[in-house]
Amino acid sequence: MVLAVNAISSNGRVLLPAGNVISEKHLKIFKSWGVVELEIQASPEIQKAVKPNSGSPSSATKLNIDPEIKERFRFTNKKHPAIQEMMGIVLMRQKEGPS
Amino acid sequence: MTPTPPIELEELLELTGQAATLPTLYMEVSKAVEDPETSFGEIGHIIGRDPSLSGRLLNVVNSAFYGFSNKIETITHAIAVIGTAQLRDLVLATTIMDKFKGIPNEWLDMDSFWKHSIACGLAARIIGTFARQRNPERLYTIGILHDIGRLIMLMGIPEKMNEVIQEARQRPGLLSDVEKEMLGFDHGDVGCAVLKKWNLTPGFQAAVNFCHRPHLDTTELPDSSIIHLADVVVHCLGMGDAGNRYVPPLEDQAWRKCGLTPAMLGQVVSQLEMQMQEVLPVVM
Repeated sequence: MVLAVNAISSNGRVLLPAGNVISEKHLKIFKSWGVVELEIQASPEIQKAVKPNSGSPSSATKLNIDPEIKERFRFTNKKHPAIQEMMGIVLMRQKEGPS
Repeated sequence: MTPTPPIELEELLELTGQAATLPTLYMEVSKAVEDPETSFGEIGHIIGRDPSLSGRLLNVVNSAFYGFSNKIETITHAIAVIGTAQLRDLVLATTIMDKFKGIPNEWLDMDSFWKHSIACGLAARIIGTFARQRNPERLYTIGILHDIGRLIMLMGIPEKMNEVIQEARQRPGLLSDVEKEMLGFDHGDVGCAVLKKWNLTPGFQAAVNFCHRPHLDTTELPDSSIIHLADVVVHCLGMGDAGNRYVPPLEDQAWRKCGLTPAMLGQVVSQLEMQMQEVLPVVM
């Protein structure tokens, strides 16, 4: 398993940068620092099976956006990188449906 | 041109008078915390007089909010683990909701209001932790209080406030802009004035006053910026409803002050959703 995004502890410290192979020892350390979840890179088999970028927030913009969500973002600065990230997260959740 | 307000801010505070006072138990806890002679046991005894509050506080301390591996059984133990100032802030966050329970749902759904405020408090605390802030519990409490001015307005001038809410929905527009335009002040001004009346710290007052306009905050603290970002995140996710249905514009200066990268927002949201599931049922 290769780490896709930096592993960050609950107090903001980077425990392991993205791109490193995760070992049992790392998992033990993550646990002791209160890390409850990690993003890992998909294996080549999974990458092949899934269409390119189909899971990334940016691809979600091609979805039919729920009008309620579109309206919600009406007055905000949609070009700000943080707002773009949040729009991606919200659209991903729309795509995944209610959990 | 600023319109002639239908009511002055001071007049509004007088109108809401007794209803908008701090919970007595909080004041007792606060006094005890400030007194260096008071022991943990004595503070625990004051809180213990309200079994419902003690239970709710212990539920919060034992939830994903802290994520302790061992169960905390008593308030005294909780104080020893999280600290007196932190527990005092948690008492305020928990008791303040009871204080405003009488407001009818006619114009604003109170469950949705508190859901938004709690989400904002949790998000602020998570952002504060990522931003390596000391005592991030204060951010949870400020988040709970950040829209309190709107409740004071609903209590003091309900018909006028209803007009403001309806106007903001019809235009449509951001509620705080319409408040300022129609009343001459917004809920940030009212919230700050109330916190001042309650003798809460200038840091709390500034954060509530400027969380919708953090560029005006002249204090050194990043609190108004963190609450601003938390409010934006919670609005994006559509968690609860405190009257304003739109995501406010994010001030870039405030975003930079928080020191997060866009990629970290995914983790903020994951933690927020997890904590909401556990904390919401125990505090509401």
